[in-house]
Amino acid sequence: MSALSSHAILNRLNKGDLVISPILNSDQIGESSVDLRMGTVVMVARAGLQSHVEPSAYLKATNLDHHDSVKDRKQKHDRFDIPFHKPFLLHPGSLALVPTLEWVTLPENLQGVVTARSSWAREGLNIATATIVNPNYRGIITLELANLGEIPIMLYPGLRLAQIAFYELTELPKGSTKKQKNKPQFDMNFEPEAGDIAKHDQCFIPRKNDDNKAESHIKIVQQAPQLITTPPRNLFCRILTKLTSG
Amino acid sequence: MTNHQSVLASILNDELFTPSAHFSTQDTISAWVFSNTAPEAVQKQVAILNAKGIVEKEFFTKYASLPAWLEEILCDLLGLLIFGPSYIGAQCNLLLSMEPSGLYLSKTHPPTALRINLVLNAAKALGYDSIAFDKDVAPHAKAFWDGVNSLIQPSDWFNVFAEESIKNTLTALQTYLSSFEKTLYPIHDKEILQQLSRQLFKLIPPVGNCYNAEGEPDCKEVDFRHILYAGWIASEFDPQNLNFAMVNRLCEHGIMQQNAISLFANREK
Repeated sequence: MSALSSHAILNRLNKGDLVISPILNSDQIGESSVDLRMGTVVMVARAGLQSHVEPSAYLKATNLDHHDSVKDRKQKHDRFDIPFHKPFLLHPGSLALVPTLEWVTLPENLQGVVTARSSWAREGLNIATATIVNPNYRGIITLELANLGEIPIMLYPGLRLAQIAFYELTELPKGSTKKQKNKPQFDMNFEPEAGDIAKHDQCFIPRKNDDNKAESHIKIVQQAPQLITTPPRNLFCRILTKLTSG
Repeated sequence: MTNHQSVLASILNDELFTPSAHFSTQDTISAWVFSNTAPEAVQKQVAILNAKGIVEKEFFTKYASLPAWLEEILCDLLGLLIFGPSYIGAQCNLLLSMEPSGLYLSKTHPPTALRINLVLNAAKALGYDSIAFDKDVAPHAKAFWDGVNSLIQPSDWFNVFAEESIKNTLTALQTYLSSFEKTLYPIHDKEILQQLSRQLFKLIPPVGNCYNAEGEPDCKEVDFRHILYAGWIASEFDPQNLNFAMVNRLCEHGIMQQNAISLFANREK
């Protein structure tokens, strides 16, 4: 696997097999990366009625996925549309999902890696993880922004917050062409979405019948104070859940 | 009535309504509605009005509003001149989804079929359908125009305005609107339309993302109305895999991105 230079990136962009659209000017292309700008949507993670992020809430086996009592168990994201020239204030300690302005389409032999731009990182803005963008991906890229500083950071759509570098795969993934053909027609990302933390890990997450065990373990680990601070409605939901689960 | 409204109303009155045998006065329009050459569905509605005691001369005093009817026709022509071909796609889809027959005698709107016939004849007069696209885009543009033209009602009863009269009206409206910057649809940007359409065919939001001869990024400002027209062309590309909702979403995203391109392009102005 080798990283693409600016020349190689431009070649690919001109050929059209790699798409980053729009690139507003050539300054956006670095030695071996392309700067990514903030889009016009922000999704802020907020504490809902849950005391903690619980993977079992993301299991899809339940028929109650869309019921409010189940939704309440997942972490919430408030969605904000931020027009150009309007600010978004990212407070210390908060997490926001932000789409890139750019639309990205990767060919089957390229992988992208997204990182924060160092100038922003020095201000406390952190892109929580180095995001890997898989070959054949198509859509906006979701940036997970966290403010690790002590004061809020004002962000404006259009600012260059992140950068993406590209790595050529030495060998194509097995069955990549077949997989691409079988992609569902709506497999395009226009906006950030909450992830599915239970995906492919269901076997490690206790199901409904095991809820009591899981709950009791949490109580021991967290030594109760966490539960005491939970909002009353959540306690009510927990009691209800326990009663209905027998 | 504002100055704009009175200027526009007088253009329509002088160029479109007065020369029309059927739309020159309130009485001639009523006579047209009540004529025995009207489609059967219209004649049935007229019979119901008659049964309610509304006779021909009372059509616009006891039932419909003439100013509202005439204003709708003005708005249709303005919509066409300002938004371009995308207006036709939107108008045909919206109006016929609400009233599929197009023959309903509304109190506030002239029959939908009359409006669609007028707008499509006007689009032809403006040359909207005559852009000679390259062979990868042309079949889909043709499919769009064939689709909307198939909605034309063949009955002459709906064609109340002569071709010459429609042309004169459009010319007069264009002359008036051209004094307002960026108001008229910028017709015949073939290359831009093709680029936007091709982006959509590849499931990329349509924007002026270009590269110059040296291969460096060189974004262009693109009028959002071209994005909308490209969307209608692309909706005929591969409806199985690129359906209307997807095209709509890609165009919406493209318009947002184009806003950034414009802000960046004008940063020093």
